[in-house]
Amino acid sequence: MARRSAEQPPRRPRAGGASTGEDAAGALGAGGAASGDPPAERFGVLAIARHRKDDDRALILYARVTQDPE
Amino acid sequence: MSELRFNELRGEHVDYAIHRQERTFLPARDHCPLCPTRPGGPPTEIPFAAFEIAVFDNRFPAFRAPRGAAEVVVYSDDHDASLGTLAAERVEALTWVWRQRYLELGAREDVDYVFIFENRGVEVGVTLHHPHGQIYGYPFLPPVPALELAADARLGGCAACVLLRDELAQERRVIYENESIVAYVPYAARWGYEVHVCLREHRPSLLACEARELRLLAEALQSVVRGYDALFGRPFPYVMAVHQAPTVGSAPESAAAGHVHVEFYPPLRTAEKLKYLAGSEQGAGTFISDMLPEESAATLREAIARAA
Repeated sequence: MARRSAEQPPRRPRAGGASTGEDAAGALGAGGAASGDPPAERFGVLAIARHRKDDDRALILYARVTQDPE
Repeated sequence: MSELRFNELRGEHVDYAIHRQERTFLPARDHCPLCPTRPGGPPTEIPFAAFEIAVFDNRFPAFRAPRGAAEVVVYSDDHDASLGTLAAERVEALTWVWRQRYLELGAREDVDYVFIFENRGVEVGVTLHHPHGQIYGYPFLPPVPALELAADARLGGCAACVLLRDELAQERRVIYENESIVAYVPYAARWGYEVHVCLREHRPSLLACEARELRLLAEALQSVVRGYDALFGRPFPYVMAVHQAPTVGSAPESAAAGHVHVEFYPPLRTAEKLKYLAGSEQGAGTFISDMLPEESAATLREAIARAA
């Protein structure tokens, strides 16, 4: 019988409940958040900057940050 | 206009997304919508001068809220890159992007299954050459992951774990291994060069993976793709499918199961010949293959070694 991990997939978890929440990263290395956008979030090795396109579609830019979560 | 209909005879959904008929089709290089927006150049989907990885809502979605999601994942601002040629750190970051999107889309009430995939090559219907993948958030559990859950029930445990154990015991179809990942041509592969890339440990989804496992998954994926490209000395077309646990909240208990793995379905059977889904495959649901998995595994092992 295969081993089951204690960690299960997201069965409707709370929004934003990332398992690797850390301090918000600084400015993204490439692209960067446009003026007035919220500060970048941090998710594991990623810095996340969220934008809205002119037609209101979501656009998310991800950039690797140098410090690993390990 | 989108409409989801249920095909009673086959017991499966069909999605009618009529607006997709108008989607961008193999544009000229200087009109690529996935490139950064250049000064004086045409507007693109990503209005920045440079970026690392970008995710945006598909302009021509197969699914959209409040009944699912369709996203585009652009791997790089380099039009000529590929999963195999990107820096290792970028592909590792890509696995974190997949993980983050799984978490965010999986939390939505209208998404029961988060499906990450890449179509590579015109042979599998690619309409944009810029390196990218897609994510569909299905408002139902699609048939293929449902079959994997049924295999769990049939085998009395995680089917991926059982099959991986068998492949490791037999060895001859294994084409790549590292500390956390095994890649193999399955015993009953449907495609000549089909490969499954599987976590050694039972992990229902990327969320359950350790950081080290994500790094090694990225390494394994690049090794496989580089081996593919070395096989015939040309960019190798494929469909890459990331299978994880469903995210539906009201499914049977078995829906909590799943084992993250990545499946590659390449349509080439030789450098110039494609495998077509014809009468037996489409009309009877039975693949007829010209190649034994053990033989294609040996060929792929050599190609991966050449590309290393």
